[in-house]
Amino acid sequence: MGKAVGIDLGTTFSAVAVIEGGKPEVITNAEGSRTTPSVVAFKESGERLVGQVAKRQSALNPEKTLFSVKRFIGRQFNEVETERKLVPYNVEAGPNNAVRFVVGDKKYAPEEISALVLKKLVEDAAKYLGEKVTDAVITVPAYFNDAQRQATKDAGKIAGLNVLRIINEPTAASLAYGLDKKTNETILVFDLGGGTFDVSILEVGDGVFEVKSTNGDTHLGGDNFDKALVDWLAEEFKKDQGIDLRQDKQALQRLIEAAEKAKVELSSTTETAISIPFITAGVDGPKHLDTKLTRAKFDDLTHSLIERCRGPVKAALADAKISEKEIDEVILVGGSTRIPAVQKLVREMIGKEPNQSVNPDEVVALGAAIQAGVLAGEMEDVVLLDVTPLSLGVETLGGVMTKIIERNTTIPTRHSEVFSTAEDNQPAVDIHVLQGERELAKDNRSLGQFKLEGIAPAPRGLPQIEVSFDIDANGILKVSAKDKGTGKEQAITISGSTNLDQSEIERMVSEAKQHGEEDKQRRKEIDERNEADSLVYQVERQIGELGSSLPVHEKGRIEQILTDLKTALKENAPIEKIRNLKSDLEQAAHNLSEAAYQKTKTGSETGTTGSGDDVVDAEYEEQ
Amino acid sequence: MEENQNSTDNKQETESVQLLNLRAEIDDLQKQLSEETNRHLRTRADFENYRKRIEREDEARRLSVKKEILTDLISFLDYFDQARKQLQDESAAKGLEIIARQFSELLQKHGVRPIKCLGLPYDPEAQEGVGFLVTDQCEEGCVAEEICCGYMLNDILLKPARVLVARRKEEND
Repeated sequence: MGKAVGIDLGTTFSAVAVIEGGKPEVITNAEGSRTTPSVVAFKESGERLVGQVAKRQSALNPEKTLFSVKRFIGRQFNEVETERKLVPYNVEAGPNNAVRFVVGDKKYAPEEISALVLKKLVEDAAKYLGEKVTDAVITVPAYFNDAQRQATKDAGKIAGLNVLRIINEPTAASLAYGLDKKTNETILVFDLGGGTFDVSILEVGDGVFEVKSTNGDTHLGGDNFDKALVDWLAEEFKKDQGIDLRQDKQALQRLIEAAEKAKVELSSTTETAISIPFITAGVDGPKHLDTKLTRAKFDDLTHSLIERCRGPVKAALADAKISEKEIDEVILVGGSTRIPAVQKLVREMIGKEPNQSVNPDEVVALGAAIQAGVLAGEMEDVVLLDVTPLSLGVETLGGVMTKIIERNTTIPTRHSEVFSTAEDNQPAVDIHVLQGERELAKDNRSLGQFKLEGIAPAPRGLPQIEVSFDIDANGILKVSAKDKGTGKEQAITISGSTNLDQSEIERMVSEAKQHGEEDKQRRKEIDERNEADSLVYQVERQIGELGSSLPVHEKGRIEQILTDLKTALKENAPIEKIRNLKSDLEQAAHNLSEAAYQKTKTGSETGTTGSGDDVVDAEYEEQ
Repeated sequence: MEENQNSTDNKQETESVQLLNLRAEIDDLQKQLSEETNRHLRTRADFENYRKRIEREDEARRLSVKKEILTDLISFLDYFDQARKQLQDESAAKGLEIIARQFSELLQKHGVRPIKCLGLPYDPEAQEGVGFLVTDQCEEGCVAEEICCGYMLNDILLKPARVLVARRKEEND
């Protein structure tokens, strides 16, 4: 059996998602996009085009480019009179009043065309995953009748899929938000896509969704918002320059692109510039479009479209016989729900903050993938794993916390780090186990402490002490310290490290954020002091090694800097002073390194002259 | 004697029952162990597959970011082109041409190249057909006019060209 996927077969765009590692992920198509236009075209040669490539030639081939097929699937010919008038391709009645699309001398049922879209989605998904895709859950609007559902299922079969289930789009969206876990709650799904608007009210209980009512507007979507903006820009330009940009194909294209871009930008800013230099040419020279658009103006231009959303919401509530107060959750679906005015309307009508953390263009496909995963048995092995709520680490030189395991790490897990001693001949190390997000040890929670003794005498920095943190699935933390030289080891076990009160976790994280800058500054200071201390130690050793080869005045100068720096460190002098002295010592140490190099070089030259016994002169002939 | 015998029998019976229970427990534990081992292996395999996919996707992600930035930048080539065509001041137009050429060369360094399509058969894989142009300057079905240049990023379509396709004059025209 191959992979099972979830497919959102949309009116204008479709998407496919799959469960990977227990989580749903949208799959990109062969063109690198996460959505595929639901468009099929037939070339003169009979070759079929599907997706973006079909959409690209739609203006050249209107009678053989089939789009919005979802408006016809599973419906009778006499039911689709309005839809027929809105499309440039030929629609006629087939056997038993079924809908047929006439393309040249061939006739196609809507399910055959949808099957081509499904086939492309599945083929691209299989290529991406590197394995066959055999099963699918496909979504349909909640208002689809049996015939429409069956036709969609048939489309899946024609595409070679084993259709595990047909589920409602609002149900899929609710699954993506995990609302199937809720009990006896009422959900309103507000779906404003590219060309259609659907409102659904669902009730959920024991993982079962029941559709209480549906309503909507089959010809309201993002395209309407784009047109409103294009028309305004064209009218303003005409007023100003006397030229109607809509009459110029090239100018119109640029206008449409700019309008779409501005609409998207106004979802995150309150003002945007729309600038199209050299958009057209007048008798007196080039013309430019350069204007600003505020969000308030955009809302004003699209006010009537926003108001068109109000009626269906009220009607859906009335049909479900509930008031807006009884709605427990609101979900936003479709790219156009990113428009702030749309979100404001929903908030105002229902009085609740809508769920929008999941990408509204992908939420239906993701939910369908979850359902597919459950039906295909891929969710059985999913185990809910815990995480460490706060970072864990140890106290190190200078009183700072060195993190070993970062917060939100999934457990069970094991991490280790190797530390060393701070003083020469240090016989033991203290392991102070900490939990928290602050930089300084004293600001974090102490979980426990122990000592590792019996470290063999050695210069500081030489012994290797491996500190390991091991958390099991139950959150039991074992911290061990092992001297890699002697093999000596000590450990402690701490329970309850993951059982913190949520408010306590939030408090500690929030405090860390609040004190973030000052903590960072203090840590930086401590690190600099530690570095200065290491430098002192290193330079003292170097002086010892160089002995009398170091010029007296140089040695005297360096020793003076050393004394000053050691005193400054001991007295905890201001960091500026330590920084300056460290810098002086670094410079002096550089001179030391040069002297050390010279010493080595001289030694080797002397060595060469003295070891002639090992050198054999090679015989050679001059050519 | 009889009592002792009964006691021995009872003890043996208890031991047999205990043995049976222990065997059942062993079977159960072995089954659990087998299931857990399977689950562990499956998780390890999932993790390995996930890691491989992340490695593959890392390159795709970098390419995606590059595509996004370059797509935004190439719109300026259109502006330069429009400016060049419309400016009446020759010197200014020449200056813009130089800027456009340098910008184009910079983009080429990053793998961006224009799609050559004028006079060639219309190809929806790389061109968006916005309409027809009645002309006999080129064969029917070929690109008669390029409204907007298209670009490739190496062998990936960055932006399709916008074109008018040649069509013969019909009786109705």
